[in-house]
Amino acid sequence: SLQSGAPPLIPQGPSMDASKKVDLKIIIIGALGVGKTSLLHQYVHKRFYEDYRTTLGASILTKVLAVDNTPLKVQIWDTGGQERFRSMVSTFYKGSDGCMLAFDVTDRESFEALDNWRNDFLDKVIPREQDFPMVVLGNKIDICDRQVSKEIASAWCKEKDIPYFEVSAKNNINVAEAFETLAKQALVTYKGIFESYLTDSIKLTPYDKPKKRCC
Amino acid sequence: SLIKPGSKPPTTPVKLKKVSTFQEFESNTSDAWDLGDDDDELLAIAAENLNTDVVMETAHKVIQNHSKLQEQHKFQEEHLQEEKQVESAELTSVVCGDNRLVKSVSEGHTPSSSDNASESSSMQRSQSLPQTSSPPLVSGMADYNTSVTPALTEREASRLDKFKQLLAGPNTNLEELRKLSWSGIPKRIRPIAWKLLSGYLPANVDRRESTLQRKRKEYFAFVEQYYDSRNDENHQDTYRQIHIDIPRMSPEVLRLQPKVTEIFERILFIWAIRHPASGYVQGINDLVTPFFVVFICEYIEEEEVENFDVSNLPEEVLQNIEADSYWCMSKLLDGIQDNYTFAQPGIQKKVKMLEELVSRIDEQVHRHLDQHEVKYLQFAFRWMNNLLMREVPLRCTIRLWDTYQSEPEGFSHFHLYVCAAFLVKWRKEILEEKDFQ
Repeated sequence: SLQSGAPPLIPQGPSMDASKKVDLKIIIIGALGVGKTSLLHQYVHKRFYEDYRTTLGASILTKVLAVDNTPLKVQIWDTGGQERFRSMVSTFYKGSDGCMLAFDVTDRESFEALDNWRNDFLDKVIPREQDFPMVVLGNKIDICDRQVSKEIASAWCKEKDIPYFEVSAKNNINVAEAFETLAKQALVTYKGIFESYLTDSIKLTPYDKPKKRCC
Repeated sequence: SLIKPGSKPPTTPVKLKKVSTFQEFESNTSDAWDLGDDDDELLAIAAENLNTDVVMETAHKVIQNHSKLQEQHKFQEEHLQEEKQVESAELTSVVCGDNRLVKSVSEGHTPSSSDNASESSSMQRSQSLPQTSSPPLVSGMADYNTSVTPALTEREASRLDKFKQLLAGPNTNLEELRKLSWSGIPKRIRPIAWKLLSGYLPANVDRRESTLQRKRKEYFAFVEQYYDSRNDENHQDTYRQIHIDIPRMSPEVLRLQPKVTEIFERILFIWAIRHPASGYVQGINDLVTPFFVVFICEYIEEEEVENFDVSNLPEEVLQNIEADSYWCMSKLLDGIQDNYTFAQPGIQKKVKMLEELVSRIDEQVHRHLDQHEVKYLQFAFRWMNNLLMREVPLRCTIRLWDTYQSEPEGFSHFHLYVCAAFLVKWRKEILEEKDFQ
């Protein structure tokens, strides 16, 4: 019969165990100079630094946020956008619960590179899941000189079923919304894993008739 | 007629022991070399006696002079200190009288005047403890006063002499130069020492000028040949990256001056085009800076670098600095090119070696990092990618490079040990840290 207490093992994914250091790991990727670091700093420190430096390798920031009254410690990995760093950066993809794809609306190439970044990420996250928690951020909407329209970006995202946010790290537009949407999504995915685990447990009890048979 | 040509007339022999100064000795014995071979031994013994006496006396004088100077200096400093304290006492009385007035006084000295809280707390301190501690802004001024006097310490002066002697000959002994440079190169010597150590300048003095001319010409021929292609389809990405990155470099340099930006862009673009296996990789841009700053300091005071307007330098001087920086940076990168080729194997390898090294020399730190799920790649990638330049101030990087350039594989092999030393140096802080997020 179903015993009280937490299930002994949860297959991969975040745990709400307070002793665990991090609940969610989120990674931000995208071409160089699109503003990944600035987005992160805006979100975590509520500041925009005019004077910023290229990210070499990866750096980590954390933030505690409440999603549906659940406090979550989110660890956000900032990554260097240069192509040459990709093999190194991709070693940090492992264990991510969510992925933030960033491009610069004033830089068409950074948008065209999204496909590559996404595929690269999905290839390295095992198992490859098409519905892996992801959001796309089109940054620098404060600059008038746009090369990627909202429609084009939205269409690309809609086709892949990824939420799209037009953001500005400089003017703090939509930044928190994007992060929180991703965190929520990651949490839902986690809960899905958690619940399917519970369902599996229940399935084993004599009082519950199996809904599905799997081999 | 018995006197040999060129020699001085013989003088009355004196009792050598009475000679007390080197000058006297010299004038009294200038004929010594005219004596016959038979007297050589005697003379040698005498000279030895005399030398000890003279040496002792001279040494004594030096010490005396030195301590006198020291006392004077000390006195001056004390005096200065007293003056400052009087000033601070005056300030304090002003504080008591009119707060607003003092605020404007302190605003004149503190860079950030917006921080009222710290200002008033420092004022309180100066009010309550006027004798025991001088208020921060005054001690800051005293620091400034002592730092502007560029007096060399004795050790520095003697090191400078050693370098000068070494560089004075027609052929510089590079092995000796490396030995001497390992523990730091005096500022004035650094530009030439770096050019020699990197292998850019030949050891032979006679060949130097022509080499410089040839290399500078060669560099500007590259610029002529390649730089226009920066907007071509196959090179525009490289150029664009460099262009984006230059304002994002370490903030300490003159980088935002358009002239400097142009120079850096050219150096990096030409290097990238000529090294297609790696091309331009972020981090390489930072490596130009130390060379550029060291070479520009040949023309300006180091203290000026921050605020110096490079367009004040003659065009030709700037061009020479540009070409020299390019070649020296190229020499450096030759030694670490696998840091920047596909998948950056040089860095991967070095990070692994660092991990292995630390696990042997400081197992506790190694285990601590492991327990807290900190991967070496997370922090050491950057250390390797731009040689700790993000971790230490520029002047420290420059000093570190004195040593790197004195080591056979300084920028790769020796750097690894510096990184390990970094971890060991901060071991206490690392071990106390429980949250590496």
